[in-house]
Amino acid sequence: MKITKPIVIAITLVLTIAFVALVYFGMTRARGAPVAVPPLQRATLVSHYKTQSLDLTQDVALADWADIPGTAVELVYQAMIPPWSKGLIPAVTAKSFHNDTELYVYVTWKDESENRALGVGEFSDAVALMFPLSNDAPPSTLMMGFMGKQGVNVWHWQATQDTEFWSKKSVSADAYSDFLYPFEEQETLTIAKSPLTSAVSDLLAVKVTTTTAKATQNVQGRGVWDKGAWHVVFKRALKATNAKEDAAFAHGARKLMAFAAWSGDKGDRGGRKSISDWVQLEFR
Amino acid sequence: MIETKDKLFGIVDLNARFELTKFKPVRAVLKSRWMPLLPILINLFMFVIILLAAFTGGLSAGNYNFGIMIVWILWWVLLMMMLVPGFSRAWCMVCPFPIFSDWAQRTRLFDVKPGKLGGLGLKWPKKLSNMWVMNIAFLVTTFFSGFMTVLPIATFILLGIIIIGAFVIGLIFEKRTFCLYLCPVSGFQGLYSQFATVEVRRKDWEICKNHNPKTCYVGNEKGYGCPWNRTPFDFQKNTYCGMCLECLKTCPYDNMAINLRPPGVDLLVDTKREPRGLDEAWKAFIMLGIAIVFYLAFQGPWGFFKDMVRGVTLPGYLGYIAFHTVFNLLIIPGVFFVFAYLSKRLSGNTEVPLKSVFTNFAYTLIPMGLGVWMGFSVGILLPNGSYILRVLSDPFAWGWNLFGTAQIPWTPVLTGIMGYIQGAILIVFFAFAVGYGWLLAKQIYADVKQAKRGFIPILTFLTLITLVFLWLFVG
Repeated sequence: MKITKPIVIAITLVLTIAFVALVYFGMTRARGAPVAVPPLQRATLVSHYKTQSLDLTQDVALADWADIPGTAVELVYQAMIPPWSKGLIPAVTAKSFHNDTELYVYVTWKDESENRALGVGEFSDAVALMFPLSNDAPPSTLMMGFMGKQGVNVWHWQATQDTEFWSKKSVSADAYSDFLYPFEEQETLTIAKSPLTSAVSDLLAVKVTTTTAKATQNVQGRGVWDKGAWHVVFKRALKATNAKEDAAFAHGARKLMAFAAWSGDKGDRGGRKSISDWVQLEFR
Repeated sequence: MIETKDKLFGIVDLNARFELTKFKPVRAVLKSRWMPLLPILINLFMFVIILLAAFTGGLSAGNYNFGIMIVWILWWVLLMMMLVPGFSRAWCMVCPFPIFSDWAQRTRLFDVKPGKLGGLGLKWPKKLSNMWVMNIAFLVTTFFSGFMTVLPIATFILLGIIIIGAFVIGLIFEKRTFCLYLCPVSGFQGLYSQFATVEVRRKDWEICKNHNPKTCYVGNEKGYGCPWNRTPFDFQKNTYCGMCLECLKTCPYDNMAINLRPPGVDLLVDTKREPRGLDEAWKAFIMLGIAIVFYLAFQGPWGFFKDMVRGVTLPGYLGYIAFHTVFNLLIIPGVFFVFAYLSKRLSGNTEVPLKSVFTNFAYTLIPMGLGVWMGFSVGILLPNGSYILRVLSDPFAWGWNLFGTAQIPWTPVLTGIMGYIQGAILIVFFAFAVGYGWLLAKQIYADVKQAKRGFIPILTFLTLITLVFLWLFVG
């Protein structure tokens, strides 16, 4: 068949129309069904003023938090590994108050098992709060690498660290390392560990893989596991010690924050965790 | 091949060649009509899967989509790190997109039909027979990079436009006009293939001179005349050679060869038939500029810019397009122009035109740009490469596990030293840019003294570009 001008025009038209129709079909249907995207609704955690101070050396008193309204914060499993769409920890409830000098944040979530030890294939339960250090953090992502030059301040409570710090118990497993290389008479692989100053690690991150412990640890915290749920309290001076490294809070101000939680018995550790979207922390 | 007395870095003989086709089995394979048809058909099958995955993936997450992962992680990285620098336009050899128009023109898929090709067979306008359309096409394509690398349907749209475009253009215009002057991917492959370590060239000029008709150009019963409209008997640069292997088939004297060669020898070629030009210079500027913008958007820590590229807000997205266009088309060439002007002034040569200095030295950006893109590709591959293993086993995210790799978690590899790997690559290619820059300086200026003085600003520019990227890569 000889290809003539009308044939080329007809082929071009048919292909273009078919392609546009196909793209329209694909754009309006993902995985075969129309997709409705609900409008973004950001949760707000209100930090009320209270004259009370909490002494964390006396354990976590749940009664202190009973009358404070909580904010349910949904978590999703990170998109990095399976099961992507299943939340291993579907939600946490957060509460907060301040007394003009100290900020307290309480986080609770359901967890059937208390994981306070480390071992081979055994991981710690944990929870973390993240605050962008810059006030113009991008609203569309909370990935730690994309917060601008200043990065983020992360308060990371771990059940194992809590046990070590408050109960002075060792959490390491029975595994050991042979410190002596063959033919070496002295230890060559010594273990170095900084003395703990808190059950909470006060961290900084600027880009992916840059999570670093701050030189000064300014956050205290304590957790208790009770009847299938964790209750963790964070405490920090309202005023930032170092404006470049500590999240800044102020009475009457608003601040973005995000939550992450780890379920040790389900294999969560490191980047494997459940995370929230941005939550607005509001000081009243 | 143009003989040159110059040696790269003073030691590498640029006339050195090793003919791969001197081995009979190699030549036999390349002369078979199954080559490159068989790899094209395999590739076509792969692209059917890619298109289906990208279409069914719709608006879902790109990092678990076969289409996005294979195209933007595997293919792009292979192209920039291996195919182009190593094997010239080997991708064009196996690219499945023109197969439909080839089929329509030839009415044959496998064997050769002598005579006039089908289709309207119009000639592409002479004024557009260069890289300018491809420059714009590629730049416009990158406007949508924030969608194509994230949304499977966007990749489907891009590939669909290219496939339909290749087919329709093949029906209207002669031979591989689409590949030559329109394909967005073709331009940078052509440019960077000048650096490649492989070439298709005639062996003995005397044989070609006395051979009439020139079957490599007009075709015979063994194969088609050059589909890329080249004259294989005398071309000197890889830029527009699509490595389709037809000339190896049609030469009755086996006078066409595939050679291994030192990287970058085409950079010194400037003949009447294949002159250095502003279109290629701008391609080099655009590629360098896009590498900077892409790094900022995809591997940098600047969230606000990422949001602009992803079109989170319309003003932000329009701002990105405006910045991207001005930066690539005006700012980068403008800055280079200043250094070219300084080169001419410093050289003391008043006869050589500034345009010539500007255009010729722009070719130093070919090794420089290639190194930058290789570094950028490392930054794509090491953090994201593990996704490929997953999607190979479950291409449509339907829960398959074809090769037992569907459960492999995201595993960044060597990201702790990634910046140093990128930096090392950059420095190697900076060395090539400087090496060739010096040889170009000697071509541009009348004597070595002028060349030395004239090269200083260009060396400064190349050093600054390297430092900028070292800062971006290593921090």
